[in-house]
Amino acid sequence: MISTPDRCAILAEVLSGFPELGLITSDSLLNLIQTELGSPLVLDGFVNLTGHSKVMAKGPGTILHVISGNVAQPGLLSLTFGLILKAHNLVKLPSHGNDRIIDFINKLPEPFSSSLEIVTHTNPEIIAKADVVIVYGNEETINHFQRVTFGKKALLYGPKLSYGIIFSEEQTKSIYEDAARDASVYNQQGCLSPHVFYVQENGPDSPRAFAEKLAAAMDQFALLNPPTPLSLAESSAVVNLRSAYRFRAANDPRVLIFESKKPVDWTVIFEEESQFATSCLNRTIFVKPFVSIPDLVKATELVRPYLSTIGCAPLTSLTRDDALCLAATRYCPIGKMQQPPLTWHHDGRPNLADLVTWIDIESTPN
Amino acid sequence: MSNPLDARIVAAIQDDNLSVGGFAGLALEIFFYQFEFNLPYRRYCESLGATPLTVKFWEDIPAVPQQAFKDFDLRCFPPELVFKEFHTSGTTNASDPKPGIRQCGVHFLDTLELYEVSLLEGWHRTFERGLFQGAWPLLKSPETFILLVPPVSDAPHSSLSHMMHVVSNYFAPKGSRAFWKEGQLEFQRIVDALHMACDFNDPVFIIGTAFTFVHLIDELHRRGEKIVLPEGSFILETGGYKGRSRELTKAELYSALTTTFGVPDNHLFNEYGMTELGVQFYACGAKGLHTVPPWARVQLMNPSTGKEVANGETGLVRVCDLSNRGSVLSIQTEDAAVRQGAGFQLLGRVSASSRGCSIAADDLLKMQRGQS
Repeated sequence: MISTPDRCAILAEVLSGFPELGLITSDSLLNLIQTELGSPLVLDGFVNLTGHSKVMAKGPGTILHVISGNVAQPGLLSLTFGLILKAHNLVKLPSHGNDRIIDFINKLPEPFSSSLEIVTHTNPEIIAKADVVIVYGNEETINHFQRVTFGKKALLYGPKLSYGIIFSEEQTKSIYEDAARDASVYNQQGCLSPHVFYVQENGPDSPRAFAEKLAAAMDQFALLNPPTPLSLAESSAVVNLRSAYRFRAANDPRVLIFESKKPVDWTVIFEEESQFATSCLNRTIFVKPFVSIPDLVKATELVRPYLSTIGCAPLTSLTRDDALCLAATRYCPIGKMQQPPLTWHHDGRPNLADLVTWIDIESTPN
Repeated sequence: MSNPLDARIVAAIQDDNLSVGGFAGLALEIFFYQFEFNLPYRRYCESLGATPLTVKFWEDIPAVPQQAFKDFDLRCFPPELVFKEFHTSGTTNASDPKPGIRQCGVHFLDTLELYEVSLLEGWHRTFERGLFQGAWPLLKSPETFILLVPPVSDAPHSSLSHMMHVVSNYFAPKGSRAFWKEGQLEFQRIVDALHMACDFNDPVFIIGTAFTFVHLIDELHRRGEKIVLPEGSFILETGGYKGRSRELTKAELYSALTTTFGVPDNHLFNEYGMTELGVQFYACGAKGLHTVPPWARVQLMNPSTGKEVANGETGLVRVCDLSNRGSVLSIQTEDAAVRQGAGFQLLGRVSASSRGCSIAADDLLKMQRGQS
């Protein structure tokens, strides 16, 4: 059996071909294990961590990973964690496939590659084989797996959304480019993608001016990174939203719309109404003003159950109390919304600690 | 008739030989009128650079998104001249309810004349002189007419109820049979009426929304009953589920109607219309094409290019309807359809639900509905 440090070294080598995950090294994987489990050694044998017991952490025998189709990162990490924990991994790919996951599987050397098995169904027999089921998906998928995994350990990562806050103290010149990147990469398909940037009044830019500068940055980003072609449903959603807001903008000075010359590349909508607006995705972002954090709490009340990340510029303006009352599970700088660190608690949960079972051997009393 | 344009619009609707030029000229005149009197629409047109000086072809008349009927009062007359209001029942997206913005679209009319002329002319064209002539004799006998839509007294702002009220008054002035009581379908009375039609071998013409038919099919299934209607019976469904029953595809619904009632596919019709429009489009059978009457045009737009799609391709339905004089005549819907020659095959609303753990506007609407 390969030791955990060696497993981490091999996995880090494979993951270097996946820059969308950020820089993952052998040390960062070992650091994750250290952070969540106390020591990388606990996966290979009994270790005295507490002074009065020797403990060992055992991963699940078999994990069923149900991968979603929007972005690859959660699936890539889920498989990586399963391999670190020495599990056998059943992988159900989304119906439209996921090329990056297949690339990852193809790049794995033995014995990792034989620890992965692609399954085409998630019927009761497959679910019965798994000790743990990990699911990433939309509401319908989550509801389905909630039912069919009844009585089994299941980690269900349902639909989430994110937004950004530009505090009045923000002075960084690159803020527009940073915000445009957060709103554009992966065509806004991830749960970490912002739907709205809330801009605090009395900052260096008025919220309107911010929207205009963000639009220029979105345009620049699209020039260098053109969006992938949209389906009829996706482009239809963008066009419908745009035309409804064009109509509002023509009749209401509290609304402004900035849009790409090409019909569906990117859209920035400024609205004085501060209530949270859900984007139709595909680089469609709202900019709204706010005065204080309590205003923001009220404006985002409807989406609190679905909140993932709040990007903040500058992050130092966020107080501990703000973080608690805004109710997100992750706060990060604007520009880094799509790149959580490896140690990120996805939806507020640990990555490895949720999966292991501990074995304790207590020491003989003197 | 209050508006000088109306007499010419009525004449155009009733003109079997309305020319291409006649349609285009009248469409532009109506646009000029609406540009002058419908202020929110005028502002929208101006923001797009479309004015009577720049719009030379009917195809260039700016189409209004359905959402605008929620956000604004789109009418060419003052509020004191509102004669009738039709309210939508959630055709458009409402994932982000905003203070001061109503949750349904409202179509204001200063007269019902254009609406009713368009409606009845559509029925004459479709059922008397058009493709579906076999149904015409049934319309002349009130006993055959079975309405599964709420009466106007129950739903005063429903364009569908008003439509059926006009149709039944016209075809069955002695009274058609409605099967609603206290806001509910009266299943037992419907079943009794259908059995009686079978006993006397009298064909019937049943009209209802898709979800009403699903309720009826499910109820009969629950009772273990099938009612094979007399030969020559017809069913007209007006589409639409809006979460009020389980949803079937058109092919599934038509198959279930044939199985449950013994009515063949070529005696099953769909009516495609919307609250914001005066014109309706009809199709026969599960795969039938919707036909477009001469006083309307249907363009199918590619949202990625903003241009009309070619024959055989899918686009979003945009309607230009001369009978919509009092509001706006060109409307961009959120429904997809395939262009097939002069007609179109309706696919219905396309939903941009996300494919994974992200949330798009459509998803949030569904999730919030699921919670309420």
